[in-house]
Amino acid sequence: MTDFENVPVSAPTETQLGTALRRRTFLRVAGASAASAALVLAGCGKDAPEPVVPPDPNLITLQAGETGLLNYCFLFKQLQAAFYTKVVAAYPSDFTAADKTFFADLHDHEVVQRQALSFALGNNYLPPLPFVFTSFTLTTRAGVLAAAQQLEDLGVAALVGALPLFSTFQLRVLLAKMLSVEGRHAALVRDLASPGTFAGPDAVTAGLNRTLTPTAGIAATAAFTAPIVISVANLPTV
Amino acid sequence: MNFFQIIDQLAEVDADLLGRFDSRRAVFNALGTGAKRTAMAATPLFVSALFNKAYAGETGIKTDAKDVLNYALALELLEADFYAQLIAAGQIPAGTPAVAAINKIKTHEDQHVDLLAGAAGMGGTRTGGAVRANGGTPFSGIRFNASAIPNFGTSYDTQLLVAQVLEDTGVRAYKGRAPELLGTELLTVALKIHSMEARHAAHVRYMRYNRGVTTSKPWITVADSALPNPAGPAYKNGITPATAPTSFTYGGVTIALPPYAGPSPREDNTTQSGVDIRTQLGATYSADDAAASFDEYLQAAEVLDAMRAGGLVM
Repeated sequence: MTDFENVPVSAPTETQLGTALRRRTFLRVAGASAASAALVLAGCGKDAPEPVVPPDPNLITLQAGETGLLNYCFLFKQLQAAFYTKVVAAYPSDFTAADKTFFADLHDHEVVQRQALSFALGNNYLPPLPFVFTSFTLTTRAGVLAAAQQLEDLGVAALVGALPLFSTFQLRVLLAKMLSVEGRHAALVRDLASPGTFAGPDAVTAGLNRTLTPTAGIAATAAFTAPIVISVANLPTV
Repeated sequence: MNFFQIIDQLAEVDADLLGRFDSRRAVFNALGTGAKRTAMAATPLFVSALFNKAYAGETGIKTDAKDVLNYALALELLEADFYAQLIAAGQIPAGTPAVAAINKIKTHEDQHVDLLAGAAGMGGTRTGGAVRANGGTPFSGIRFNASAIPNFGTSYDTQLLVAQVLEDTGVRAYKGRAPELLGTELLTVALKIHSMEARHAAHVRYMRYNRGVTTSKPWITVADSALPNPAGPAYKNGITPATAPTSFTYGGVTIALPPYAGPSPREDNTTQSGVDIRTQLGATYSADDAAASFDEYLQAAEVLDAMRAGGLVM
């Protein structure tokens, strides 16, 4: 566990959070991420040889097959839950009472869905990532709604694209149960931002929701996960 | 190899990081406790435990894509005609955003009909479409029976309630059958439409919210399953007759329906795959959160039952 010895093990103070936490997170993600491989090695115990250091510590390669696909879906849930957690912790001053009620629900739904997918993944789940939301303006209602709209539309399109790649019927059902809730979220935050835009032309074409392949979906999350890069190269494509 | 050492390390990562990124520390304080350990010790992709209940499509029941698509078409025709009648009734408050919203939804439903049944050419004859492409004869002429709803022609609020019920039923119906579709292309189309139904449902529910029905959030909370008729059954489960129909016929076109596997989950369901969402995910969530985070499916026999959409077909 060479990687871990070089970083502080005691909890960083709040003021240290920026860099210290980032670094720890990043290292831990990297350490835990060569997905199962590194973990299996780590599990060999104190007497076991040192684990192999991943070649590119910035790179997380999602597993092949449905485990990787489910982790891909899980990533969006992590992203959205982290976003709403930030929002509900400090609502913009121009948020209305109704806005707050809705966003509290949005937060809860995303956390519930994230936890459910984490549960479904057992011990194969993608470690939590330190998402970066600097591209958003979270101090104004308009900024928060624009951000929520981007993340929700992205979430719907990503699930539409990912769901057919699952071969297990039950997983398709589970994700479909979440997909429509995501569609409801997207419609609401759009309506809050600009009434009547629940199906705007940037999200819907000819009465059909947009779809994103995992390759396109992961590219759309890149700015939020940087410097960590997530590869979907091993995911099924048909 | 010590399995629990892995779990401990994962739990450590979790507790360390999640706690800082989520204000709900309580969620993660539970990490490492019995519940979470059990969760982590679960088989990867605990599929077998995930769903105890089998329903059509899961157990190798032969599903004809053309019948699934035609079933979807039947619902789209019903919705399209419903909105045509809603608009014709002239109750939408003039000069409000509702006019554009209802028209937009109507346009989407027409587009779904075109996609499934083929676009109408000169003389109104439809050609092409997904049902024909898969070897079926598309339904046509299915209408919304407004006389089944008291005051439909005069009460805008009633019209919106029926719109909500039809859209929410559409979401449940697509969810009930889309996963049967094999091959990414057809399933993708079905999911795109499914997502649109969800957007419509959310918007209509939000329209009702803005008209003072503050229990009508864009998502389905527990209270919806207790709504009086005619709305309530859309959020519940089960069928009226003892024996479920095995086919559905309209205008001389018949489709086979998958076998009915007993009542589907109700929308106030707070348990997924035997896991109580309220208490077993590492923290405590309200019943509304647990129910609203997952939309539930309905099987064809339930959707077409007289107490739901089936009772509105004319």
